Amino acid sequence: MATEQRKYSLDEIRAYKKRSLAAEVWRNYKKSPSAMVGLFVVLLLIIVAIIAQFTFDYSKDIVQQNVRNRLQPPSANHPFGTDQYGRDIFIRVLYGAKYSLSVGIVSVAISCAVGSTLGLIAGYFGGAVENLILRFCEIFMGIPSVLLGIAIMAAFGQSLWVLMLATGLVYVPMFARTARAAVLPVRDQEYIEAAHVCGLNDFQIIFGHVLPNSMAPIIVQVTMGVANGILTASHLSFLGLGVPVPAPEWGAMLSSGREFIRDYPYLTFFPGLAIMITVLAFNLVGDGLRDALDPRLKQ
Amino acid sequence: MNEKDLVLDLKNLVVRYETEGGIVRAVNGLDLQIRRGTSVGLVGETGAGKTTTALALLRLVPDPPGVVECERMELDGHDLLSMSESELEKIRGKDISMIFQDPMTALNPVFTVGEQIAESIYLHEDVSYAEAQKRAAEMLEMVGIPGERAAEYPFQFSGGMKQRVVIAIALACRPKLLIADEPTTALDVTIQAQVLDLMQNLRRQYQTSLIMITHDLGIVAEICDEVAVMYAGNIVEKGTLEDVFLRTKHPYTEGLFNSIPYIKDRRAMLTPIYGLPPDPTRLPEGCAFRPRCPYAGDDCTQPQTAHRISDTHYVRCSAYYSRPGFHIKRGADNP
Amino acid sequence: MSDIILEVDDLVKHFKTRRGTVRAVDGIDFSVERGKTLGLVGESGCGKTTVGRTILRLIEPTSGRILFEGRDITKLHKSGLRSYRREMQLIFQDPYSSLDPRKTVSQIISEPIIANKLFRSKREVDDRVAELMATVGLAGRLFNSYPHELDGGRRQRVGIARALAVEPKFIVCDEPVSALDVSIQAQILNLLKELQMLFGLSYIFITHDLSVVHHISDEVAVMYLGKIVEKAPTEELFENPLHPYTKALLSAIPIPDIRHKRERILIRGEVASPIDPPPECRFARRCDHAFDACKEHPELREVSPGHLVACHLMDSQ
Repeated sequence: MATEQRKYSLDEIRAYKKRSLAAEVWRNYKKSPSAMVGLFVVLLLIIVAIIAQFTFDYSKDIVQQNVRNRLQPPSANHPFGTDQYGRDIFIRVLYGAKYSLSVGIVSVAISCAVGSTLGLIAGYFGGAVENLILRFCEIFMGIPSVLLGIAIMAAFGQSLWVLMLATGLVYVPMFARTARAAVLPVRDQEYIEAAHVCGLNDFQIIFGHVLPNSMAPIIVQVTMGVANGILTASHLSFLGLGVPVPAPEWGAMLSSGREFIRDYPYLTFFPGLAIMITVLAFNLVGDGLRDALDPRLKQ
Repeated sequence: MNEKDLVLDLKNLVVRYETEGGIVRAVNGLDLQIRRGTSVGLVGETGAGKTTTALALLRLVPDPPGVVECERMELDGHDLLSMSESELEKIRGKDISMIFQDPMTALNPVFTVGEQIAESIYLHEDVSYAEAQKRAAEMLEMVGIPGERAAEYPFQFSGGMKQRVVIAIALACRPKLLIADEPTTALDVTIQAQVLDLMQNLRRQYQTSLIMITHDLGIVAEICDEVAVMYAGNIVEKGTLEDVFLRTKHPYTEGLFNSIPYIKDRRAMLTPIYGLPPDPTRLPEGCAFRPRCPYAGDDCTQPQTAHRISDTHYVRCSAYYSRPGFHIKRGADNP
Repeated sequence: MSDIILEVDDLVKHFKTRRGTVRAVDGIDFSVERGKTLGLVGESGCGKTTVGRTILRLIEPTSGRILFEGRDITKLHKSGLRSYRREMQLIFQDPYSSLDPRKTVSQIISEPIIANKLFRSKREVDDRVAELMATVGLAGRLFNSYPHELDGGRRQRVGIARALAVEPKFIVCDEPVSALDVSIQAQILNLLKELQMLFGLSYIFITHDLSVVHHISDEVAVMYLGKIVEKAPTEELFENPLHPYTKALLSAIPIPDIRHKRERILIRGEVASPIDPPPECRFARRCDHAFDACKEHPELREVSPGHLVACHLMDSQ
């Protein structure tokens, strides 16, 4: 009958090289032009944020007022113009990338770590635990996110770290629900039963089988969450609750420019454009990852 | 064979799917003729091209990526190839209809079963909607479901009952040709027996020709008059039940029979067919079965043509004309 | 007396639902001899899968005893359960959902080896995996393949290799071939038979396909709505079926042989709901021979050596 019954030696087997899953995902990801554009923009933003950090002097280039130069329109000297204090908007936008990106990334790290763990536990164990976690999430989601942010900022004071924490906590329920929804179909798969029969414990099953297979929606949620985090942080800063002035956080820049929106729209236009491009880029990356992560789409 | 007696006349059907990963050669030059009132079993394993053939007959192969080429495709004398989409819509469900494998997804959950049967009648025949509904209830009775259940929704029916409803829809306009694609695979054996019995009775009553797509030679033996065995997109052997079951000629057909656990001799090991079906994007040259065939020889790399054994029995195996006296083991038992 | 490896004694599994109690398994007894195969046959919803899962304690039984080599495994706690599952394994029906799509063939097969600490070094584990792959007929080049790259037959072989990894004595096979094409089905059935001879395995073979069960089992138990209605050595059951349901089931299999036309017994209606069934014989409503006595549920009793039937017709004769 079967002809494949010869035992292969280990060296023979090792010759068949293992292909990493990441490489496969990358191969699929590359196929989508829009996802590649998104990734390019995200990388560019990160590089810009790092370079700006070291090129510009915070006290001199970013916050120092220069009243003679105030409210200049875009020109070769000031590509985005200057604000009501005579500061170069272009430089401030570049420098501000660091705030938006770090708020977006750190807040998502918080909400993903807390939310996904809750969701995994809820989905895997079910029953009363699941009920408790879900009801908690629903109550949390019932509070408008900006209001919740304001409450946290009010309680802990105004700083970059509190802004990150506030934005992160706002999105915990979203991650919990995404993770739980992703776990449910995986939990009923026969390979989970097989893992029980193989002698694995719950911890090994959750992190060895459940998490890797429910990862895709969570990763997508992470990239989308960065975009959401940036927006929420901008909202809070716009309301004057975010990074304290005069730091060039994009939301704060929008907020301070709003009095001049009629006569000097570039005060709000460029920070707004920066927010929009960043959010769009992260969303494109998220879309691309969602398609690339599905192992069944592979040939 | 009298031309007028043919319900279906299919010559040199080719279907391929042009995908990113290569050209999938699903059907490769298939000929099939079906006489009025007969039932033909189309047998083969997953990927043999059975379902694609059926879809091609309904002109439902998705394009792109599907490409259908055919010399002749006539249903009851009407050329299906030259028909427009609106003409085809009139024919589908009326002259030719299809029963799918999974009765759970074949019915629309938001309409009552009565509405779904009546819709088919109302669309294809010149009757009032009230009349169509009355006939729908009659059709339900025909398939063994009380007429008053016409007002119920699909979720209120069990799997076997749903398949009966699907059969009622398929037969509502008394089609000339019914294609059943594994209609009982999703059902339990006792329910399968009921449904097969029902199909057999209705078919005789309505003089409908049937193409029964299945992987189960047992079902073929129960309800078909003729058998066509498919492998890699072509019919490798075709004949009456007696031809194929008793005077088996093709090595693949023999392999299929040897793979089935046979109730008469259970201690024996089964003799599976060696290897796996070919990748349809890279079919071997000549006979597609050659790499798995115990009788394969040098002549098998030639393009294969249908070899006539008798008026009814054809086999696609070049060994019969290139090697004098060639025979397979199973055929030898029943000369 | 013969060597019994597994004994199931009045096993009951009820599920409480909003619509009532589902009596999935309602008091069944059977035993399996060492090195033999018991076929568990029945249609969907008869409880055969629940029985298989309960024996492995993937589902907790409502009541009853399961004796494996004389030990009652229904009372085992965590560590005892783990060592029990080194002796008792499961092969799944669906080779598509029983393998983790994100793990390679070698990772899947090595999982029970690592979890049970059978080998410690990477080299020893890999060597054992290679040995298992050869045993089930998987080519070495598939060592690092992912399940979606394999066909159904090969995937099922991976599942079998995983089950064999802990060197079990007993394997529950839950419809292991029903998702496969006939020619592949034959390959897997032959493999299971070979492994049984090679390792002296005992099987419970759960299936709805009577011709498969006929081929592989030494003894067959027919289940209907949570009860065993008939149990007999395979030859005896197929040659001399006594329960009306078994007779109908046997005659319903389409046989690929046109020389032996049989009289078909069609049973009317469909399987009733297992939710709070009346105390009558579960099959009575579909049975052509039902009479007054069938209002009461018949006991399974021996009518000839080894042949047990639960039907009142047996008493009246």
